[in-house]
Amino acid sequence: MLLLSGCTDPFAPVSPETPTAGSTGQGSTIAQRVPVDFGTALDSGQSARIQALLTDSAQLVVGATILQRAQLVTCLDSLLSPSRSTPLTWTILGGSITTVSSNLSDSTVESFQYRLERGTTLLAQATATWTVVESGTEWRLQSWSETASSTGWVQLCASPR
Amino acid sequence: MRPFSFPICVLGLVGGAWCLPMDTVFSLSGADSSRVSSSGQHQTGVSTLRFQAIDVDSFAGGSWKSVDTTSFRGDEHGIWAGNGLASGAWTRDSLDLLWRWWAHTSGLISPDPSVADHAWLQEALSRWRFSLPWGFRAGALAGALMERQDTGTATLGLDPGQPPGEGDAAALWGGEASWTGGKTIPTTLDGLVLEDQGDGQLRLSRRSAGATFLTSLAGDGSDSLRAFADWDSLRLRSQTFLTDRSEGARQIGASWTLPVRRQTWTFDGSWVSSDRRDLTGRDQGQNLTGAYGDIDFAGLLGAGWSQHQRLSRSMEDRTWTTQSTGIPANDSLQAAQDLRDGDRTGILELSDTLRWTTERDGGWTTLAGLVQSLRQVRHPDDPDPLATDRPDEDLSRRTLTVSVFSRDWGWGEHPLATWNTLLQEDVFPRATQSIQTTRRLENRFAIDLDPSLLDAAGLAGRDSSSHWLRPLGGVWGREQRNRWRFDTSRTEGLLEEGWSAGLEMGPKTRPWATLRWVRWRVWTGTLPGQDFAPDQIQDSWAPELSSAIPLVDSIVLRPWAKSQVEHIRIWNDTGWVPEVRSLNSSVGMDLSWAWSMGWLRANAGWEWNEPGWGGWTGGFSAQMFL
Repeated sequence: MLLLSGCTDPFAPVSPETPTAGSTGQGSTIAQRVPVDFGTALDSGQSARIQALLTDSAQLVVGATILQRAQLVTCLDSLLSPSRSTPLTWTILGGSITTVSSNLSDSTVESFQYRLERGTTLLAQATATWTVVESGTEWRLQSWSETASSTGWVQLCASPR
Repeated sequence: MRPFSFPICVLGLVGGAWCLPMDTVFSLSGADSSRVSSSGQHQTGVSTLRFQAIDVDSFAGGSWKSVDTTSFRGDEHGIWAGNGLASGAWTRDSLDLLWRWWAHTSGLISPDPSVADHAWLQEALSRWRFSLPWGFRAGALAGALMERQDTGTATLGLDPGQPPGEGDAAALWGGEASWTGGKTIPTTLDGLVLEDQGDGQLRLSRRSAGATFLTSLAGDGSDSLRAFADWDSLRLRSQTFLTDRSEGARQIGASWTLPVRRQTWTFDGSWVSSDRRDLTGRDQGQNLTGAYGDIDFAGLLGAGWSQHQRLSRSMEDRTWTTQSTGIPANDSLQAAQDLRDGDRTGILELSDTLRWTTERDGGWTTLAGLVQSLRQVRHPDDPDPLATDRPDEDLSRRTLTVSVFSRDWGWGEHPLATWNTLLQEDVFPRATQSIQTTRRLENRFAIDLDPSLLDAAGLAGRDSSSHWLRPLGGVWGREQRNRWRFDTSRTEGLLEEGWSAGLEMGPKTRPWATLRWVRWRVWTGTLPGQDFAPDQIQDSWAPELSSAIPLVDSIVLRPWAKSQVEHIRIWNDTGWVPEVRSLNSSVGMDLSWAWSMGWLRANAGWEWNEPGWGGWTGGFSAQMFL
């Protein structure tokens, strides 16, 4: 069977097109898309895309616990490990993202309820408040806060399932 | 999805018996003996409790089964929610009766009773089985559904924006039939229709049909061919389950197994079409069409060699439909997004495995495996994707694994030593998304040594059945390099090394104490040229101690303690700066008790984290046969 891949390589990917000038970053085009794009990237296992949606100083704050970007990325990498065959499902409950405030032209605070599942297993469910900031023409997550709960993201990162 | 139980009906094919699609529903599958069981858990302020009672008996000249399951969950605020399912089935001659009761409640022990809500749904179903001409067997179904709810302020309406109803009822009626026969080509045919009759607020209807054939193409029974075709549809609307959905699936397939000398070929192929609609509009509807094929070739080669090759191909098309909101502008935007989200996903995978086994020196096995795969995702209705659209993607992975297993020196099924190399290319073909294109090279190795190492080397002073003091040990390492094709300034490297060491004391089959110390370090950073420039070091220690103290014959007490300390240091261009330290520790005790009619296990402990939360943990599980 190895001979099957001898002449042409059926497992080789196609060559990508040269990136367009506008795609050099991978933030979101509008502030309200950040949680949606974050979920799409989670569902499709794109760790790099998720990291691109975080600012360099992004952090998760739950009560007195703070996860810095590096810890958050480590947690996400664990969730998206290739050894986990069942993909994640991120749902914004009610489909609504509420803009809490957008006093500054380059910063918006959004609130929404989310649920994260792997197959039929509930991994996390909480109300999140995100501060997203604009850099250039793109929006990224700067701060993610939740009230402490047993089903929040901090608990998930403490014991990724 | 279908209630039809294929394994039962395969037995029917072999034994000449017959079966009906609703058999698994009426037989309460899993209820094979009378017993009670319970379990509970408490951790991070959340408690769960579960009870189950199963009764298998005779009653009124027939056979009786019941399964009652109740579970509760309490949060850190002391507010409890519960779910229950009680079911009973009685069978006598040609008559089957079934009763099921689902219930859920939330807001229990709440300081504000208005947030509590309770709901239940009951189903009663009867079946009369009879024979039809030409060997067909059939069942006539009749029953009823009823649900009621006591709603609180937190109760959601089934239809968004509408208040929740108080309950409804519906009648159920239907029929089913099956036929099993055919001497040269054993065949099973079956069909089911279950309809609801009511005002449409509470609905349960199901229709299904299926056919299965078994035969030998060679005619002498040396090979076997199984072919099948299924069709199924479901319509369910219930406030209790907070669902209003329709589902449908159609499937055909075949599997052919052909032994050739010491090798076995297996060919599998199937085609599936399914659709799913959430009529409340909360979730997107999905249509899926998929074709799947596998060729499997495995067998012995002689002199201890064996091989296994597998080629798999799948192709799936998905389209999405979001329920209309009634606002034209929103609906047209969402419809356009649904169209762009539709994808075609193809997966090709080839797995080649070569194995050599010898019984010499206690038994050794060497395994070399190469797995190559390509997953291609395309969005045919999104010719000009935005950067934020679901991306086209080619994920190509090649994994080479070499493992050595030893019966004496290794850990059971775990390899004594293993090497793994992964080459992954994640390509995003379209110009608006190709900036994400990455290439990953990863090498891993691990060695795990068995406690009997000293014994196998002839160094242990005791006979092999005792092993009063045994060493534990292992080392592992990993290096990973990630590069972005179009962003050469962006690279990521990772280097990990770790080891574990410990001692196990007591008899090998039931050690009474184990001490283990694990240490690992992970460097992450960038890859300037061929070099690695780490900018973060994660340094972790994890000591662990456990023991087992037999109290009396069947009662064992197991105290344990474990901890994990993690330091992270960051390079700040002048030196390494300690940034983050975290501590996770727990201590506790497990108790197990087994006797002839059941068992009990319980545990209690204390956990603390710095930074983070702490608190007590505990749990139990028990089962007793009646």
